[in-house]
Amino acid sequence: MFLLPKGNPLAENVPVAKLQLPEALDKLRNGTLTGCATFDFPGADCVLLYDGGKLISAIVHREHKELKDQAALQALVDLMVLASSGSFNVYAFPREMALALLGLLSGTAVITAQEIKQIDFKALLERIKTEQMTGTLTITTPERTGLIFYKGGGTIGFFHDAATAVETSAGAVQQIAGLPGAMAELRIIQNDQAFTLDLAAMVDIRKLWETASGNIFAPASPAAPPGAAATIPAATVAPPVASAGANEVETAISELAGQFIGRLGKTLVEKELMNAGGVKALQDEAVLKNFLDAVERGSKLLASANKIKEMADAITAKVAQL
Amino acid sequence: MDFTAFFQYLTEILPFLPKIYNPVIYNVSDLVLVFFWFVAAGFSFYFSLGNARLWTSISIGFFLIFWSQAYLLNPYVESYFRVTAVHSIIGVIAILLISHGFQEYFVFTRTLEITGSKRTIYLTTAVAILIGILVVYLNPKPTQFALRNYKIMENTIWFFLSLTNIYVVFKIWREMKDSPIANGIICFAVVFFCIVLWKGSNLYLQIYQWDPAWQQLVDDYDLGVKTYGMDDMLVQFAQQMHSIGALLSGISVGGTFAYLFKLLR
Repeated sequence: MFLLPKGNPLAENVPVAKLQLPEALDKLRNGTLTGCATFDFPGADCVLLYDGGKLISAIVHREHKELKDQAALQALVDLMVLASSGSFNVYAFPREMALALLGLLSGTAVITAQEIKQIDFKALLERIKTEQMTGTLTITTPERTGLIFYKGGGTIGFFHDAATAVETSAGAVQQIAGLPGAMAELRIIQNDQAFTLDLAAMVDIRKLWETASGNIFAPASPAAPPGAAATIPAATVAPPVASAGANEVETAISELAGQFIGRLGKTLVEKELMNAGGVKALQDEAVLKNFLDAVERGSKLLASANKIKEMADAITAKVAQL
Repeated sequence: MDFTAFFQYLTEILPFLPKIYNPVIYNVSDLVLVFFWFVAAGFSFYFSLGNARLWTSISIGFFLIFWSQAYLLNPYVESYFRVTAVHSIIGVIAILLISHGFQEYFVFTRTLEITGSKRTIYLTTAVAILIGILVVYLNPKPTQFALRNYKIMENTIWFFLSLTNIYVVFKIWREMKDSPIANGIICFAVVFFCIVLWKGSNLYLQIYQWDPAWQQLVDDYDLGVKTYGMDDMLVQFAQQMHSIGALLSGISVGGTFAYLFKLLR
């Protein structure tokens, strides 16, 4: 799992089954996005980092392996075609943050996994400042992760695994750094790194997509829709394919929670859906009841009893459409 | 309002109570204040029913504030020094519980996890009060000096925890600002601000020995200590702030809970 700050959300939890990858990436390029697009699949994650519409970094984590740039884009196409479920998010950042993240994702390591106790931290900060580094300092313990972003040697923000947005104070990340066994890793970009890359120009994603989603045994025909299991050789399909209806219901339930209880309600429902084992598991009456009870328990701290009841009724009606 | 006859009658039918020598007269504002704390205790108890334990902490906290405020109306208060000291400790436990409740609320908004049992809160409160009673009863009977020190301790803890709570309430509000009860939660920042005025001004008067309790001690014990600056504008302002802060705290807490009740119905 990547730990990345959430910037301004432009799209959140869009089911990947609904997505035509080439069109989606075209939109990000034409919209001159500065920020990131993330893809969360069961067992894999992908991050595409953009600077003014240029795809400056692509990275995939799958089965404890890390793939970068062209290999990552190829892997993303495969994941999109084969995955049974997954979600797509787009967040916009200020340019300086995107460059700091470029350092994190594909920058040069200045320090690699060193125990903080063994580092002259003050000297390191001084070096970042004097050498005007742009990148990210990652602080990790087995349980926690914190990030400090730098642009031109100056600190531009802090983020950690319990934060919902980039923070301006170092407090929480400092706490992580103070935990026993905390390790530090500093990755920075070279001065010209951000201006030379455009992976989208180097890789023909449309061709990759059409090749991966087309049936090699079928006669030439228009490209099949992504995620359609029938167009993919059965032997290559590992997990069972969820129906598009399930994804739609999941999105609708999440939207309902947002509508009745607000942003926290939406997150609460997504969390409880994950605990319940996905939206399809809600077809079981006992699971649905447990799910609604869990949602109600948390919602009581956010909304009135009437609103919670209305939301529960609306969710039950949505689940019935499965 | 004159309650002298009522308490004299009470002393007649319950002979173990101390005799009432001085008139027992209450300001209507004091009674209104206690009533508002009662409203807060009642509503918060209602919210705690079938809800997460953080409301249990807040509910017991507000109930204990009501209890300690109501106790101050007790005309026998000056006869029971130990009980008065215990009530200062109960006041401290009250704000600790409320702060604990709001901190758990903040944790919930960040993790969406509800953990812990209500029984732990009930038991911890009971044990804390018992330890307080034990400490007071194992020590010599508190003098009026010691009681004033207890009060300073209580005001200090209230002042700083209320400041912290304003910050925590803002953090909670920021996380849940598009939720239906967000406006009700931010009202608690107003409540804690009024409490900061109330307790902070009293603490200021106590530290510089401008408080009535110190003046009483100087008179009673003929200490011959001259207090300078009693007529300063700042002192009079602090005295006004103490009275107004107490009233506003009661009104704002009653109003906040009534508003929350409307939002949560």
